[in-house]
Amino acid sequence: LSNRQVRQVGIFLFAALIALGCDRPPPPEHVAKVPVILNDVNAAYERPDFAAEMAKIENPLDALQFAIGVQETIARRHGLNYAEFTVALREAKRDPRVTAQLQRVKLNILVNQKWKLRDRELPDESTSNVPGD
Amino acid sequence: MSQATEARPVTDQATPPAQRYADLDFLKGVACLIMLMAHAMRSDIGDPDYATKLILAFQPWGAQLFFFVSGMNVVLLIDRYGARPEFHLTRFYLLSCLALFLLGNVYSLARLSFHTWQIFHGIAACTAATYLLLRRRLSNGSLLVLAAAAYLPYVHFRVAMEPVLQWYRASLPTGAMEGAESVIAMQTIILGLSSAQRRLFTNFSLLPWISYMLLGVAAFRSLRAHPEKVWKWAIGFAAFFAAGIAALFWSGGIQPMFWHVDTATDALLRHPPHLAFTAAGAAGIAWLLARWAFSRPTGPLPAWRRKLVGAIGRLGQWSLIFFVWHWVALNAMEATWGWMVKEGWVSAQMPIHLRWPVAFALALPTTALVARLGEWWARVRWAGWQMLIALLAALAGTGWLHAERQHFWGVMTSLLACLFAAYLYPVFREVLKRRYSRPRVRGRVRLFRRAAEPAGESA
Repeated sequence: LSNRQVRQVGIFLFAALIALGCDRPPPPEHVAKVPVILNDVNAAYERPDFAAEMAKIENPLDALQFAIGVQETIARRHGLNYAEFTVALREAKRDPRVTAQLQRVKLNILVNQKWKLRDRELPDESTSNVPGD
Repeated sequence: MSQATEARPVTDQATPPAQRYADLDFLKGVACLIMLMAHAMRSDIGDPDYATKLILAFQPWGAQLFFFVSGMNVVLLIDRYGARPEFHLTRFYLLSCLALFLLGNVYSLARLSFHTWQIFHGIAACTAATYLLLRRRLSNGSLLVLAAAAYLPYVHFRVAMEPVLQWYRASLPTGAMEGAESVIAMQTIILGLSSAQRRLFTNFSLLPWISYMLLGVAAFRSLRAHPEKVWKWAIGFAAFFAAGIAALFWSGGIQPMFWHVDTATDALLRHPPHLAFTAAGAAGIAWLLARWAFSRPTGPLPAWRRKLVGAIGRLGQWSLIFFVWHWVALNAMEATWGWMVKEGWVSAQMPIHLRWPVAFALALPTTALVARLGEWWARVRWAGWQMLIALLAALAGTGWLHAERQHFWGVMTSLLACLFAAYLYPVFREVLKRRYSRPRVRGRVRLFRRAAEPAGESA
């Protein structure tokens, strides 16, 4: 293997990374659905039956998975699977209104989780790094 | 063939001169450099641009490269001591691993994380398991099957966890890996998993990491016995890399996005197929390239290249000390920046591409000094006891400082305790080496020999 061939292989691998290694932006129609989905998710989380179900779950991770299941059902109703929804959400939270909705979703999950952590409250700086915030 | 170099002076007659493989030390040094860069950049990634994402995308390979190469050291150890009937290699090596594992708890204290294994635990557990497998005289093919078998349960677990990781990927503040919300997310996952799941699948756990080690062992043994197979391995590693790239398009459960891993929760479970396969392929290709570069006859190299390669190799030799010390340098850097922010000299956010060059400038020269200090200390009489006392004193100081709510100094003191632990480990290994180098004769036989010895010889 000559030096030149080694360099060529290196350049090829690097080019492959450039082409494939970075995240691809979601379709705009998916991003447009995010505020509607988050609205429905908050409505579902604020219903008493959600709190009652969450109260039965001791493990914080199991509780989170139950809450994610609710999101998944609602996203599917709007024509997105969960992976598509979360990719679109990541893009959509550049909008401060979506960030505020997302913050409410996170609080709704946290207050219903039965766990024994010291910092149960959502910290103040939780959204400080969100672009556009 | 790899180039073997003489590294350390002979300490006693029972220990033949240690042969170090310069290419393996060099690769460990490269892995340390990648880790330093990653830790410096990842305290807060923010919303990175395209070029930064590419740099970040290479970083998950650093630790995998280290594990890939570490397995080869186990092979060399067995080669060196395995055929010596008077040396009790299994007891020596397993006790060494146990010591490293226990000392790893000091590192967990410094990282304030007791619920999941850290790098010292991972290295100790994986090398011990690899050693036990190698003593079974398994073929290279069997090792590859075991590597795959160790990865499959991980993939199953990782797919089950993917919705949780997708949620955190979308909902956590972008790129704030050490923010308070990330800490809550990590605690939710770690405290929600069972003890066995944490030790098998999260952070530096046993199952996925041992796969890299076994792959490295199989490749190393194969090429030592059959150097002509180098192209087969090269094609194999390239196929691994290509499989990792192909996994980016696999939508069977794992989101093929965010390759640069900008959430702490993803870093906790960092072996999805696209990262694991590209890491294994890249580690293998890097090893083959290093093996080739160190073995080919070259003319006189320019002085700067010789010095650079030598310095990276030495960093690889000092990797245990480096794992601890680079956190001291990074904490000092962050604290100094925080102080300059308070004085109003700089902006609140340290630019990501300032962070890693400053970390290099702080951590690398001081690692050399600190490592030399450890080597000097190891030669002092009663060094082991002194180091143990220093370690216990630093642990007591850590407790006191945290109780006084001086958390920054508490963490720094606990890192000092880790450093003493890293100094102590090779000293303890030497003690074990001497202990298990003695011919072991029991009860009646020993009494008989003593009785038979002339008075002057027993001394």
